[in-house]
Amino acid sequence: MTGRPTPEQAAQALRGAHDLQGRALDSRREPPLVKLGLGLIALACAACYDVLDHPGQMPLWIAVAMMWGYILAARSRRGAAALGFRATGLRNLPATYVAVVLAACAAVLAVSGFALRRTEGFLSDHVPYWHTLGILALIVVATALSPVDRRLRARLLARTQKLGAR
Amino acid sequence: MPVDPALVDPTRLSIVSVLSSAQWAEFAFVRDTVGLSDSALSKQVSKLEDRGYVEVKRGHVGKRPRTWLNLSDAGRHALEGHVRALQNIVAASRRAGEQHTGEAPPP
Repeated sequence: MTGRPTPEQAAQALRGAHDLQGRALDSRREPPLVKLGLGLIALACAACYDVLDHPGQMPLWIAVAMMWGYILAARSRRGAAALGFRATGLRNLPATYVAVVLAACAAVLAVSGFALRRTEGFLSDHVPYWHTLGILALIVVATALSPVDRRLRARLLARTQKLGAR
Repeated sequence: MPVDPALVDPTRLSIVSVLSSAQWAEFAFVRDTVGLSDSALSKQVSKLEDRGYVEVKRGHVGKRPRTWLNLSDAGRHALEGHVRALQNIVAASRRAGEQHTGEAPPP
């Protein structure tokens, strides 16, 4: 392609560029070892509340500090590479996707917080190891929702690109 | 807005498109996503770096050497302008096609 592209060449170049952006966004996934590590940290902290008599706030703060450390590391070049990511940060995410994910996270936090307050007494009396089981259930739900999240991102990206390519 | 001469080349457009999706991307990630050899990608990245469109950082993670690429602000603006120019070309062609089919056929 030299000079000014023809309409066919322009359309083809736009399709190619959008396709590659989509592929680059789609290939951003947490490495399996990172997922396993994060899951184990969460489970260990939850188990502290089930096994220890008076764990206090320490396990919670350790979990928060480790998650925060993970987020910071994943945002830096060297940290992300050490964790197994091949690129840092995500750009060009469709605004609708960001809005949907934020709304879903806020809804899940609000509902689970409300449900937890209502049932905490019952759970601690009748369900053994309920902290660990709760975190395990959360991990299972998050794993099951991961492909849904990727599909949603791809679909919204494709829709945005169709609009942009017009 | 005219098309960017540096991005008319499909390979360079592919590279900046991939880089536009991340903050820093590893050289190997871009190579695999675009489907180029190391030397071909290196050559194109040098051209983009000369124009100020791409930043290159080299370093080590453990003992392994790594190269990271980032689309600079100039590169981002160039890509946006180039995409807009391509969209204008496609839109102008569509309009011309619609006008052509909308004209009454000669008697």
